[in-house]
Amino acid sequence: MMEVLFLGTPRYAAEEAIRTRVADPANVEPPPVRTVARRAAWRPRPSVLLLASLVFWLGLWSLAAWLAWVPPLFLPSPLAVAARFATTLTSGFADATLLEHAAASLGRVLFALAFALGLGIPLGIGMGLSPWVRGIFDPVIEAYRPIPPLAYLPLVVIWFGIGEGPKILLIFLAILPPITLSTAAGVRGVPLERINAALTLGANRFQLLRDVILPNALPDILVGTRIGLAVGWSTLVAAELVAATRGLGFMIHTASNFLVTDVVIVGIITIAAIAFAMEFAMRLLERRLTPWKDKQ
Amino acid sequence: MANGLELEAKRLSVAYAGADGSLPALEDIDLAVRPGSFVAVLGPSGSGKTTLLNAFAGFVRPTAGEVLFRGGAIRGPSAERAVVFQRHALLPWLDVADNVAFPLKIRGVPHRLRRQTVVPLLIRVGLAAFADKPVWTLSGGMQQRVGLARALAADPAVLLLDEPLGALDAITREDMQRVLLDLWASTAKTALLITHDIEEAVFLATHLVVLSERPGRIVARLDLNFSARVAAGEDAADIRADREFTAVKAELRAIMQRRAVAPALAATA
Repeated sequence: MMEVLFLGTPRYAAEEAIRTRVADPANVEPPPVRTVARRAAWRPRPSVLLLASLVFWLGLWSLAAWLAWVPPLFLPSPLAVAARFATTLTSGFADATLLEHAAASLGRVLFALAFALGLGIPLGIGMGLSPWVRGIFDPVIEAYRPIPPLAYLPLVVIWFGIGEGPKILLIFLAILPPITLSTAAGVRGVPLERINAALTLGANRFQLLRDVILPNALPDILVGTRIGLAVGWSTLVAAELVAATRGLGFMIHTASNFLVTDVVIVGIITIAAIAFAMEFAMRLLERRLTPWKDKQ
Repeated sequence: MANGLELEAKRLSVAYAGADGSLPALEDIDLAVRPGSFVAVLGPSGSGKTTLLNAFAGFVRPTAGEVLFRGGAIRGPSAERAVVFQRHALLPWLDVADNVAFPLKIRGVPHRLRRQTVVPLLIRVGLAAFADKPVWTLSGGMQQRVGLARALAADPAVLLLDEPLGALDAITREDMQRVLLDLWASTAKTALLITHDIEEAVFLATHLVVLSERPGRIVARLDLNFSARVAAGEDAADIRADREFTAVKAELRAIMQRRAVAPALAATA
């Protein structure tokens, strides 16, 4: 796989060498390796940039707290937040440790994701294949998709109460549209040649769906899942506003009621870290499962 | 197989539904394809030549007239008539061997067995060393070899070739014409090739028809023997340089240019 990924590199280096040679006739033996290395030196690696950015913003935050530009009640120092992080990990906040809050939230998001995949993929396939299914469901999904979950949260509470179900339902409703719509787009986006070729090779409708249409839609389904996870996490805090006893959103909400700003920041950073880790895992999964994406 | 023909078009017309009425693509096509022949359909873009192939493949229905396979009306796609497309027809999530073995998967052959079955085919198209490579890592010419091998793995009676070499560079193209010719000669399959490349059509065809601009009608028919001579062992480069070969090319170019210019002259007159 690595060998395949870097197939283009040697030729690129060779072309680079030739280009340098042509551009500078006085240079009889240009060392191509140095040319490439010098070019590379002008662009810092992404990981270095990321580290520099982290150091810069953490430094600015420390400076702001240290010089007391903002009262510590509103902006505690990074050190205070780190200390609070340690105590929420061990002794907890609002009757649960940080890990228990995180596990509760993660559970809700993953449950909602599982339901959204279970319903969204078949629905998306139906919408991609049949104008009837698309005609019936597309307007509904497009109509509620742009509404912020906080707006229909009261309705969900009135209809379904305040248990665990409605919380998962709210997150599920946020994840469903991106998964459904990108599955439908992926199914519709199969090149006609690919379908026709399979038909002339003897494929029936079921084989066409299983062996051509679904694998072809997989990159779009993965993109939909990635987007769905992101909106799922952003809906989490809204879902845990009402009658929760655990969860990162609940923890943040409670802490803000008592003006415990450092716990609020701990909660935000934890959500960001988990969402980032999931995004990263999804990208790895995409590269592993659909290496052909954008290559055809 | 009443009359011994593999494919037949009888007074075939195809029209597409357009925004303002129907758009005729083909008009009054009569074409008979004998088993084992290599028919090339030559025409400018927009001449409806792909529509003709689509009618034989079963992708489009005749508006008038009929298309037949071994005497029976063609009602839809079938594994008897495999199509090789110009691009986008391979399955990029499978490696070379699994792509070639795809028709066997459709027939329910177990995975290991079908991979073994296609090895001789892979060797014949020069892909044996690439069996485990993902198809998207191959060059355009290599991908077309995979497409050809896959069509042959279905063991069809007819190969329908929809400009399979159209996207290749000149050198790879000549190379692939040789591959195509060798496969046709060694498998004794019937082939119908759609192309806009005069040299390619003359080099490969045993029977050649020229279509006019839209709506496509047959404006010339020609029987040729260059591919048979190459298959019999004559040197391909010698054939391409043959005086008769270049004369046929020039004649066809003249026919196609006259056809292309005539409507424009008529419009200004």
